[in-house]
Amino acid sequence: MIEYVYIMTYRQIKRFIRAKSRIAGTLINNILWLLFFGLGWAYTLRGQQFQVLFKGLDYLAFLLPATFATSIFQTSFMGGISVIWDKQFGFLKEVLVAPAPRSLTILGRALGDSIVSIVNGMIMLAFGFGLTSKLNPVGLPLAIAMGLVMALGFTSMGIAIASAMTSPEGFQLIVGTITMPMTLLSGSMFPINMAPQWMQILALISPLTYAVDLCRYYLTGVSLLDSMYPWLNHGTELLLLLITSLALIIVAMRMFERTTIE
Amino acid sequence: MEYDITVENLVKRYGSIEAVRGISFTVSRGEIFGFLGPNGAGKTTTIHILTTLLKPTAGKATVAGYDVVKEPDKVRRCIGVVFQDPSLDLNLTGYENLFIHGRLYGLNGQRLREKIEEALKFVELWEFRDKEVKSYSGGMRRRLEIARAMLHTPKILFLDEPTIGLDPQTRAHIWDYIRELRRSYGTTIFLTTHYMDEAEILCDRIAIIDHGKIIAMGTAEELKSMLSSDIVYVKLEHLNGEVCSKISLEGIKNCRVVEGNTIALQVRKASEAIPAILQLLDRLEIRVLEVSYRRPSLNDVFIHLTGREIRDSEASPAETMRMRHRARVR
Ligand SMILES: Nc1ncnc2c1ncn2[C@@H]1O[C@H](COP(=O)(O)OP(=O)(O)OP(=O)(O)O)[C@@H](O)[C@H]1O
Ligand SMILES: [Mg+2]
Repeated sequence: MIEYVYIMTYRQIKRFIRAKSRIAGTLINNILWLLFFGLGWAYTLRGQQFQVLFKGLDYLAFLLPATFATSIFQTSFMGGISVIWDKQFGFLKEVLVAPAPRSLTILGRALGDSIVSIVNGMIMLAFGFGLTSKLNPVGLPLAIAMGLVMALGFTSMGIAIASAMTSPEGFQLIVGTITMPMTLLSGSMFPINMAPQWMQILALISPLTYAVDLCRYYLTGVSLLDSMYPWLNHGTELLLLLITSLALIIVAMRMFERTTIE
Repeated sequence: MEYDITVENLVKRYGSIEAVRGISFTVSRGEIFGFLGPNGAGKTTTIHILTTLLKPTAGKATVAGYDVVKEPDKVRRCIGVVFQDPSLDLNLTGYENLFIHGRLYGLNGQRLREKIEEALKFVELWEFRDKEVKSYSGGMRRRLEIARAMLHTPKILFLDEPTIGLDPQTRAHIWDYIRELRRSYGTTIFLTTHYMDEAEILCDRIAIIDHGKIIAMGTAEELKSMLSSDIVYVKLEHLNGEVCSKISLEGIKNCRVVEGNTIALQVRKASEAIPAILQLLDRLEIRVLEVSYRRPSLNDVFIHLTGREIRDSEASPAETMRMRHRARVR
């Protein structure tokens, strides 16, 4: 059983390693974001008075852990597009006609893409540790484990959508329209607890908000969601995230089993 | 007689298009069976149903004794498929492509390594095993797909237009592999093609399919004897458009202009018809440069049955372009 998961994970990672230009592109994007957005705002908000907004953190320490989560989210979700490439370029038929259970091959695929996006997030985080000394490395293992949970959830979400689509353009459109508001609402760039009530409610619908808050909690000890609702502590957040990821994985398996070549 | 494939009244509709319109046939263990038909005849659709990728609208099909709709998992374990469109992972090497395939079919360890080596050597790609498939030529890719499809030694191999868009040498090579597969492993082979020569050279039995229906089935000899006639080619000095209408001899069933200044005449017996044809042309003062004749081809059979040609038997330039284009788009 596990070998079918393993082999697709192997494939996804192999493919990623071969795509040198894609790796370079992602890296450059990440660095530019950290420099121009991160440092730009960190410099603007450098006074003591602003740290109140971030519960005592400076802006970089506030932003960087969240960026780990959002970058994992974006790459994971986008990973679903490879299902569409495989549809267009025939490899999907090779998988569908094999006796290996589809639910396991798709799980392997999700795992492979998740590992890729976590590596990506960790590179980002490594820069983060270089830019500020306020992050706590002790929280790293927990943050990475949580990253894996959310990555599995979001790659599954991408795969589920891709299974029902035929064109990469259509997929990109959907991903684009979902990624943007989720990232903005996640509280990664500004303290969501200061936002208007209706925005907070929208934010709480999205699992990414919990992932961002958890990451920040693990790496800096600060959580913003529990100042909105005291019951929304890191334990509850983790539970909610686990449940959503699990649900998304199951949906992806179902959708992929039903995908056809028609 | 044991049948590896049985198909009964198979129908497939895509919305209002009826791609397969009630076909029935059987393929015996160890047989090479071919579907010969023009574009859009329903060949690929049939393969997709038999390989469990599509559900039929009606009818029944079994592969290796298992129902393709009710027991797709069991069918998948027994078959290997080379799809019409490329289905390789271009970013991976030839070896890695086979490795992943083997693992998906439950092979591993030393046994898988041996199988990969055997398959790659069989199609003469062993020395290219560590090159990314991106750098392979069209013929090499096709050979790799054949190696992949045979890796798990399937009982039944499906080949959808195995030599489409390839040069004549590569095509002959691939035919050798296919014959050798049957000889060495006793593999039952179902292939589709729109090349007459391919069907004739490779297949024990051929089904001619057109517009979703099987219009004739049998060995190449049986099909050709349906015409009970020969084809006489006469090359003229000048081709006059009405020449066919002027040649009205008894015993000439069909006259058509082929390439150049040549006309093709379907006659009952060439040795008797040729003198009469030459005398007639002489009387009409049409100068003859060359005369030759041959037994009818499957193309003639197809024309006889449908009134149309299938297509030139060599890969046309347009088709080669199509393949190249496809390869580049990836
Ligand atoms: N997914 C689809 N949706 C709608 N119509 C389809 C689909 N696939 C095939 N068809 C139609 O079904 C008919 C048979 O197609 P099929 O691909 O089986 O033909 P083929 O014999 O393999 O042709 P070719 O030699 O071009 O490969 C064609 O008319 C085609 O347009
Ligand atoms: Mg076809």
